[in-house]
Amino acid sequence: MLPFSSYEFFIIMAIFIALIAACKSFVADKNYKYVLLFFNALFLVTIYPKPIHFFLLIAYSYFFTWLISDVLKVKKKIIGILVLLLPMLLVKFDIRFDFYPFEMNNLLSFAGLSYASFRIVGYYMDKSPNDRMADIPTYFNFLSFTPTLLIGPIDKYARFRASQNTGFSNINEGNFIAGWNALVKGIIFKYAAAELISRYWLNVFDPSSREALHMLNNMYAYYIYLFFDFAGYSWMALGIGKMMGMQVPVNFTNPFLAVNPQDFWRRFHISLGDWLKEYFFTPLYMFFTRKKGLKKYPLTRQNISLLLTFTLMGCWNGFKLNYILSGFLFGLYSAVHNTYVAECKKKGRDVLFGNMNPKAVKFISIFIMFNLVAVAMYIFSGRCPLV
Amino acid sequence: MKRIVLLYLLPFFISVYLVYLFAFNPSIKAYFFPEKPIPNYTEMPAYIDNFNGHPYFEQNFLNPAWKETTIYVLGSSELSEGGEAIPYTFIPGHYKNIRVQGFGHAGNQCFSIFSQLLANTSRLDQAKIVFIISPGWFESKPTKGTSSAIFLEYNSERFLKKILTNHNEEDRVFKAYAEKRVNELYSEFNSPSLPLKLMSFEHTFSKSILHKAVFALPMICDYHLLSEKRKLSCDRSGCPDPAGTDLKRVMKPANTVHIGWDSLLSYSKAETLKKVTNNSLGIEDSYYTEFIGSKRGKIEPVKESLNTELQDFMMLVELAKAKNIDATFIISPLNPFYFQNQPAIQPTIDIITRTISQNGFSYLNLLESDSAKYEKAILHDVMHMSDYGWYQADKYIIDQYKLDSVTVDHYISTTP
Repeated sequence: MLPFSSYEFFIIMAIFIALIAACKSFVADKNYKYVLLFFNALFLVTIYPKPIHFFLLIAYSYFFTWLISDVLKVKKKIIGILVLLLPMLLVKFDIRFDFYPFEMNNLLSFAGLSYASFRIVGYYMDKSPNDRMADIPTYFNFLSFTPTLLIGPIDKYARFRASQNTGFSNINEGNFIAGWNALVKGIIFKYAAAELISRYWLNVFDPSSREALHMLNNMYAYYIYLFFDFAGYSWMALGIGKMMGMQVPVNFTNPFLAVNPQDFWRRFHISLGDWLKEYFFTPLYMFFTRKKGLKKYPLTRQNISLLLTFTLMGCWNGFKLNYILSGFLFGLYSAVHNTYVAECKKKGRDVLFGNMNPKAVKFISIFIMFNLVAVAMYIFSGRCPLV
Repeated sequence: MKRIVLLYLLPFFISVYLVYLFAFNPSIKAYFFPEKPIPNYTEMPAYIDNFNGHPYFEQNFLNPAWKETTIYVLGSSELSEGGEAIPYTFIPGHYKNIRVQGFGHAGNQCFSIFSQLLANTSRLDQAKIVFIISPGWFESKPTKGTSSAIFLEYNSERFLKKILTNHNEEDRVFKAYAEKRVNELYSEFNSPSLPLKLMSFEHTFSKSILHKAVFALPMICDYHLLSEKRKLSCDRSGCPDPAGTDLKRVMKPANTVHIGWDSLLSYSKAETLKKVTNNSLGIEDSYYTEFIGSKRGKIEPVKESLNTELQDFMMLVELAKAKNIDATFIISPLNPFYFQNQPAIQPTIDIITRTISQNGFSYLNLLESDSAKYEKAILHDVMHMSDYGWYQADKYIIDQYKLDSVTVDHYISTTP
């Protein structure tokens, strides 16, 4: 059984929450991480479909992070990244070593691999060779925390550890109510809104239809469905996490009201946007800055970095045309917006809207952004008959 | 704490209870979700590919009360080919009071058949069942066993519920095996039904005390929901359904038919060979042109310990023995000119035939790996029988069940 896949999962989580809360009365605060470790491991062992796979990934990542960072002290981070991402890359590239009945991908592929890989890389990037390796229980909890195991958000190790350190004190009435509200919000998003959209809107027209109106309908339906489905998961994870004493970062805040691409990634799958910015865009931008030929062109450096960052985001979903193209489109939106902002700064005025009423500008911006994102998401969905 | 209980937990449990009342109240549910009654068919087609959309055929599957004596032929793709020689057409055409029911299409492999039988254990005693075993199931990827999608085509909620609620001690091993196999397939099911979930959970539950502790409460809830659903369905369509009827069989005289097998076999052989002119492999021209050409097949044998399909087969034979099925097996041929390493499958076939014999059943093995001894007319392609092949199977079934002798079975219901 996967997290959030059926109502039994919620029953089990309710039991876990009650038991963790009960532990607060007789377990010392500093031992919260062991309590969490017990419940995360219990979930993996008894409920998760491929527990050994997950345990092996944790062991693999811990060992190689230690080897590359502490023993070999490899300076080029890219080598470590490639080693740590290797299991995910083999799956995403669909590299198969079939010696029937063994299939490489069957051994490597399991639910939650992508999110775990992103957390692993995040930890490795943040860790300098002088830092001590993470303690094993915290590292295990960081990668296997049940509510965020399957679909994020992509947490950062330092933030997770800080939250874990105050785990028992976070279990209080205020957090329970906040968690409950987030959980209910998630349930309504995922099991009511997304479900209704999926049943009564998303499939009204044949996805392969090339009629303009059908395609428009499918485009908007998918974007709105995706938001409710994905945000629903995130709110449920946040809610259950809070009730267990952990602060899970907010992953969605009204993305339909985004006025530009930058604003959109501060509202939609925030943890992914932050991850990409911190661990890919910034190092890439710094890399281009060191290149002689690009030194004089900061805007070009930014735009190339943006395009590559978002194309990578597309690749993360899978090496398929629809994913890569949608990532590239998001990169293009960001690069165009970046150029527009730079032009406005250079000329000291809004080069597109001039002196138009700010409220009208905001409304138009929201409208444009909503439609641009809907187009990119439609391509991402694989349901667009033109791609 | 008081605030949490009063403002959050209490309203939550009250609303869950209201939803529960609403969902399981027969009159409310019947009003909002009217259900079509299952039509009571008097005729059943001689061949049924699967039960999807055929609940009326499903509830009469293996039903001794249905019509006259029935021989069931269970298998996969070869049964969907049709033709005059196929047993469900040929045998009833000659033996008027014998019914032959063909059932299955491509992918209906051992575990699917095993579950269908396990769901109907009360109907198996002395049931005449012919299993058409395809060697292709036991090599390469099909050795993984029945796929999840195919499994669901043949094993609806109704059947799975019957397996779950079978508490006979003698069926415990078979039930546990079915639960284990469902558990292995579980991650492939999209929105699994309650019985499917419970079958998977039952297996997980049996693993350790930790598993028991985690799964106890969800399973109590699921079993309760299952029983409520059953009550609801009884309110609508009446219980017990035909599946619960006690049935016994009596004997009735049969007709004696003379079939000129020698001439029929030589004629069909010649007719099949007439269609083979553009190749020396013994494959019909059209099939050869469209699918074969210079292509050749390769058998990929899989070790016994890794061959899930073989394990499924062994359990199927054990079930047939335990439930006293009047079973027989036909191993269909492969074309050794196409599968040039065909002897590689022989060790697996030896295990199959040994298993059948050891359990006291008979079989007809049409597989011939020696290309010098292979009869080119037996298949029309590389693995599906021609009329010539099917007539051999027909003759075997007729001899096996002694249809030419004095009596045939006739089933009656003993339910008043």
